[in-house]
Amino acid sequence: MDLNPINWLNVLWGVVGGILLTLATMSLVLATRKQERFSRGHLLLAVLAVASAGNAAFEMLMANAGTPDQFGALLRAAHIPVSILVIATPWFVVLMFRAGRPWLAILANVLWGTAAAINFTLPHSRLYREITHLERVPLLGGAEFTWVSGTTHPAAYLGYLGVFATLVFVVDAAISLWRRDERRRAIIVGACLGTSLAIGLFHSILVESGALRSPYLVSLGFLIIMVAMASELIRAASSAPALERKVQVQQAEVAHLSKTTMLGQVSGGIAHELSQPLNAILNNAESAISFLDRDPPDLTEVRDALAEIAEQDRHACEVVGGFARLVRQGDRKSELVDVNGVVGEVLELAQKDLDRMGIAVSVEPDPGNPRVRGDPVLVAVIVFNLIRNAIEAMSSGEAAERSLTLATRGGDRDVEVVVTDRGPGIPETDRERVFDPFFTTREGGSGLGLAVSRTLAELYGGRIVATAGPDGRGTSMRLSLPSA
Amino acid sequence: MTAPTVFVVDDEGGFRSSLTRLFRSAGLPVKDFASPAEFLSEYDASAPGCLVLDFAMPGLDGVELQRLLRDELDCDLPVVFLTGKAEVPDSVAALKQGALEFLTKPAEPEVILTAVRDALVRNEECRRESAELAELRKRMDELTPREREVFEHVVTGQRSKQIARDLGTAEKTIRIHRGQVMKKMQADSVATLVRIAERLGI
Repeated sequence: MDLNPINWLNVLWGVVGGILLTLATMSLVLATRKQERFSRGHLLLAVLAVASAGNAAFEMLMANAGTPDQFGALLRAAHIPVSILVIATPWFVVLMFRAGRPWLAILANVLWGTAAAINFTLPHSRLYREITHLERVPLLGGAEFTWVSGTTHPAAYLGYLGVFATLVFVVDAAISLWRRDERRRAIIVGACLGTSLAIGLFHSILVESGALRSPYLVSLGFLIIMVAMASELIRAASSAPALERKVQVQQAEVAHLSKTTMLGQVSGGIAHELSQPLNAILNNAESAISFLDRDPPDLTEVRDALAEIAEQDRHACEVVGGFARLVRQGDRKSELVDVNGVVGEVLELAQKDLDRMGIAVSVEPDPGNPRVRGDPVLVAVIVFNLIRNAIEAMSSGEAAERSLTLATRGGDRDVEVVVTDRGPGIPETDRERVFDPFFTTREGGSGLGLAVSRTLAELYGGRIVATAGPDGRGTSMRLSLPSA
Repeated sequence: MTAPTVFVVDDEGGFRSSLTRLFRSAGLPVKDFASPAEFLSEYDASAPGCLVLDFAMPGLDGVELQRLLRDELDCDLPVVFLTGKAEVPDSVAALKQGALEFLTKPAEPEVILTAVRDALVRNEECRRESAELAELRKRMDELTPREREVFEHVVTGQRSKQIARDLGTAEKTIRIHRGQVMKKMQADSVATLVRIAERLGI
């Protein structure tokens, strides 16, 4: 082999190879970064960049080959890096852009793969049955390259078909990206990848059919592809954390808003619950003073008054305690939530309203103590909302129709909380609409309760569905959350 | 007649007990009931006093009870309402129906006591008024028809002579009748008679 290293052609391959290896190194570094979401993408890119560099090396060697056998062997071996690139490119598009039809990618892979397999069984690569002619072609600037020609092997066409199929995949993916309004990505995929593949294919066909005397410069095309893919990866890698943070912040805001809303609603209930014992304590205290002021003081009455004060105070403490428990737990965002426990606590909070409306409650907890992962306060918000809705539904009905059932059911995948009322029920056409924001059939209702509840449920990977009650009457609200 | 009693009706046990104790400590006789139904089954219409009601109770609520009492009694038991939440429309409705007071909890014990004392006084006055009217009516019933006529004419300010002419009898007869009327009605002057007539609505 006669290598004249200083000619500009060889330098060109050197530069291309250098850039590609640099890209590969950068990608490897990014791939190993902690908490890197795109490490697979970066890794893939590194592999592809190395393969491209390898391809560039082969091209350089081929351009300096001395004999047909040398050339043939190099051409055959060059199929290794080229195969890696051709086979991996569609999957890169699928992975990074979530575009393109996988079946098309598989088809392209199979076509090329078969051609490549055949290639390795042949001495002069899949392209030539035999290389019959070799010449050195001079270029401007003192460079020279080896150019060959020979009898074409049918497997050549199979390979072209494989690359063409890959090109079709890429174009199709680009179109679907354009349609999805991801214009920038469509351009990268379509223009860069597609064009490089097309030009590379076209160029190869021309050279191999003997129509064009030129060295292999497919590596240039691969360089463009690599740079495009790398830029996309880096862009994705740097914007993803920001996006993720934004989503997290918004989720936290929804959760916080719901929590404060619920705490606000519950506070109203708490204030009411507390005013009773406080009032009673006040009356008893004043009475005790009056009894003490008598001559002689009526100490029996005083004692009774004080005993009752103690009892009322204990009751008040329970009310506050339950509330505090709920609030304290809410400081940690994700923990194991005892569903039966939360349902019980929410029921206590709603008890006064239930009594006032004369609603009979039956509770059917799952004895298996189902648990979900999440924020117990927010789970409580949802259940509280559902109970309030049930109370509203039955407010205008007959006394006999005022019954509420709370059931929990644990399962392998989901835990279900079912709130059933015997109100008028929800017509089938409205069963999804009730979850729309601002949909309300109640005067002065905000229409947000169910909408917020559903959002919260979905936040934890669950859902809420409205169905008819057990015998077709009333409504069953089914909250399901993933089992912990 | 029994001493004026405070009747407390409230479904909240602890609060009811504290209210009862409060009235006891003020020296007021008190009876408590857990529900309007319980109260109605035990209440004797002739018992004096006043009613302290929780506004929102399951079953028959305070306002309905008030209406029921009003329909049954000639002299309503004055009602003092206590409520956990201040609902303006409810308070207006209750006051229109004749509730004496509408207090929101938490209420100072002194405020409750004052309202109840006022109610008891009211009830006392009302009963006295009722009793007096009944007495006057009884006396009226004692009058003969002729005396009744004379009474009606006397209170318009007519002199005996005029009355005699209107009724077609002698003035002397009229004077005798007038004397009887004054005696039976236990009035010491015509002015008193006129006041009696006004009270009776004649």
